[in-house]
Amino acid sequence: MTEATKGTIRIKKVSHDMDVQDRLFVPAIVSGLGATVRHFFKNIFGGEAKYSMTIQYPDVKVEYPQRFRGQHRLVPREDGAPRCVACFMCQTACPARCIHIVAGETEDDRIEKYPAVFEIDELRCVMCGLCVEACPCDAIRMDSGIHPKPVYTHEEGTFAKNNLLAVLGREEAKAGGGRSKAAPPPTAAGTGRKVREHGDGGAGGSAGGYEHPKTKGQPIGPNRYSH
Amino acid sequence: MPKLTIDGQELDVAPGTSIIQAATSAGIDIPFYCWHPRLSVAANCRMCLVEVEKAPKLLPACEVQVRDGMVVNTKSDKVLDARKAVMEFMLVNHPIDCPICDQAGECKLQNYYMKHDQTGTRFDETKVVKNKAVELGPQVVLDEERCINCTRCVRFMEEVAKNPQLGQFDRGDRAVIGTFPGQPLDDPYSMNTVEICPVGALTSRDFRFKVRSWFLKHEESVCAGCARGCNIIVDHYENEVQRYRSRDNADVNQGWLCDDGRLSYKRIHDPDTQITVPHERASDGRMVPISWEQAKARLAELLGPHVGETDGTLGLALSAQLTTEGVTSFVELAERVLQVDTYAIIGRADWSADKLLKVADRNPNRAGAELVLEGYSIFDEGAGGLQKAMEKGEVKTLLFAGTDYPDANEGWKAALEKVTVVAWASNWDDTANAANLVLPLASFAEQDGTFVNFQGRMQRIKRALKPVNGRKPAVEAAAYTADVLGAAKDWNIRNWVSAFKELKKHTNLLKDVQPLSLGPWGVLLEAEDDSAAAEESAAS
Repeated sequence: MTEATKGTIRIKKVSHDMDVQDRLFVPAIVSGLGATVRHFFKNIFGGEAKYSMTIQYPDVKVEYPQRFRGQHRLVPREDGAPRCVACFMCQTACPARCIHIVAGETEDDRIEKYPAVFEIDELRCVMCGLCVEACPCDAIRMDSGIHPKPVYTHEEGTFAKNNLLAVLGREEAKAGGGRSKAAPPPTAAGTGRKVREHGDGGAGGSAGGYEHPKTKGQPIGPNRYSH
Repeated sequence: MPKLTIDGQELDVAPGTSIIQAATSAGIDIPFYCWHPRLSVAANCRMCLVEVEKAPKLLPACEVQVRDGMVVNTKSDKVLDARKAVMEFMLVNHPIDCPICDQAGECKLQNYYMKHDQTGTRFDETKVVKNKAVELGPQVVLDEERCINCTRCVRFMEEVAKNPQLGQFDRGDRAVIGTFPGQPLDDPYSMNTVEICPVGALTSRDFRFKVRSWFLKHEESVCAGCARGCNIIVDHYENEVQRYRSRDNADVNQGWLCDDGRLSYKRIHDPDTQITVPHERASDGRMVPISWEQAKARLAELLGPHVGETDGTLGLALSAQLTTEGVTSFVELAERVLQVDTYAIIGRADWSADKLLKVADRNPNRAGAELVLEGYSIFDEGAGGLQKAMEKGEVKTLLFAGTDYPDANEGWKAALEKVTVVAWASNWDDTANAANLVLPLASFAEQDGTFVNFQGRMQRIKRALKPVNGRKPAVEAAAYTADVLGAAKDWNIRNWVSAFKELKKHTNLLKDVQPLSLGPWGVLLEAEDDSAAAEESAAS
């Protein structure tokens, strides 16, 4: 840039002069109507070539991206007990203070510490995922692909250890809606909490989650929905 | 006086001082594990190696005494390398199970790793596997893998507790700390080993897995277990005391605590005996909880007849568990509002004293209560005198400020049946159960104030907890009583400082004591010394 042009603003002049066709408006109206009619028929009879992105919720549900942070779950070991060693890292990391753990001592020398009580108050949770990142044992995950369901009372919104264990990961849910070994029944024995079933035998999307024809087979990700 | 130079800083210290002590006094930080100011020197951890000019090798700063003209360097490359090597060596067999280790957050291995090491491991072999969770005794659990064999615990048991129940067994990387066959670690001072353990090897059965150390909040206070008044740090979480740790007060406890004292916090939160709401005795004799409004009306009804000129049948029992300011407030209440003719200091029953810390008197502030009564020239009837006065009918209504009574025998209970009892109490006991009205009184951890120990040392206790369920600290309890009895307008003792100032008007002993500037080690009230010594000899 030379000294002379520095600091100048270039202005592009756009002509607003309209020719005869523009002044009549009719051709523009007709072409606009044409687009509407084309969309109308294509959406009804178009099959694969549909334009509409409307999803018939709740009959069909969008499958969320892989990294969607949903309802927490506790990952079980082979024997069905949670992997958690009650190190309190998630409770330490939690900005919403929604995790409550009471550590107990096990007979098993290699484990020593286990969560006697592990509760997550889903109503306080801000779904930030810091607990998942903090966990050194991969014991807590948010990969269930479902929302924590709406509840009527605060007690129902607090998930006890057994309830969290009963939640399945998305992949497990897809593979058959249950683990090979019987998952511990969702009872909150000893916690005095109201127990409710959730996950209806399989997490969201398990009912052959809706696949839009246009995006079918595409990798799942944010780009999938931008058009 | 030897003169030496540490890191270019010239120091003049007493002969016999070790380099580490000299450096610490000059604010120079030398890392260490095995050294403890109150124990003998072992010099086995090698963390405190420093470079001394003209010495062929690095020297352990904890063991080497200063000499005139010594030039010490604690920051040379050689020293830093040595520290790094020592850290690596210590971590070779360490399990690094910090996430489940109770020491995490206050562990010297963690702190020094961040400060002096910060490298990855080069160790490709298999770590030596040892026993986890070995129960050494009723209070102490050992994790052999975490142990760095500094032998602080062994030396403590030998030198301080004078009960060598711990020993070091095997050699090299198989070395472990352990007890002898048939002899568990059951010394009444065993939990000090947990406190001085620099790593997570020794954990206390009580505190184990309870709460992570970084959640704890700390407040300096004084143990209320006995009249020794050991200096403590109250570690609390979610308004509940989780543990006591000791503070090193050279004149009182030298950094140690007895196990009974260390666990005495349990009484504060004991769900079976804790009193948090007012109670009234129903017609069938049971104690039923009532609201504060009902309690107010009942208090006015029971104590109202004793305001102003009366027949003089009201007694006031002051517990030696109260703070000095609490006692002062209740005495002021008696002076200004109520007509009290019988005063008595009561307290918990004695236990057996021992050679190290425990004294027989289990009440942290008997000397303080006596100081107040002396200051106001009031005669203390004592627990026995009070019982006699009740039996004779000289006392018909009795106000308890704390219900700790040494020996709740049948005679005492029968005497209580004869009188109307209003009790400010924190825990249910026979006395509180015999009361007509019980009002919840805060424990020492829930209030500010001072305790005077058996030596006559006045020490500050700081409020660690919010009063549980709004129960009243002693000063506020007295103020509440005064308010209910219609003296609210003139009642100026609303906090512990104003109570202290009120007391200062009545005694010369406190003329130089400023309540808010009471240092961490307290202050010895001189004239008290004789009576305290006499008391001690009488107790033993």
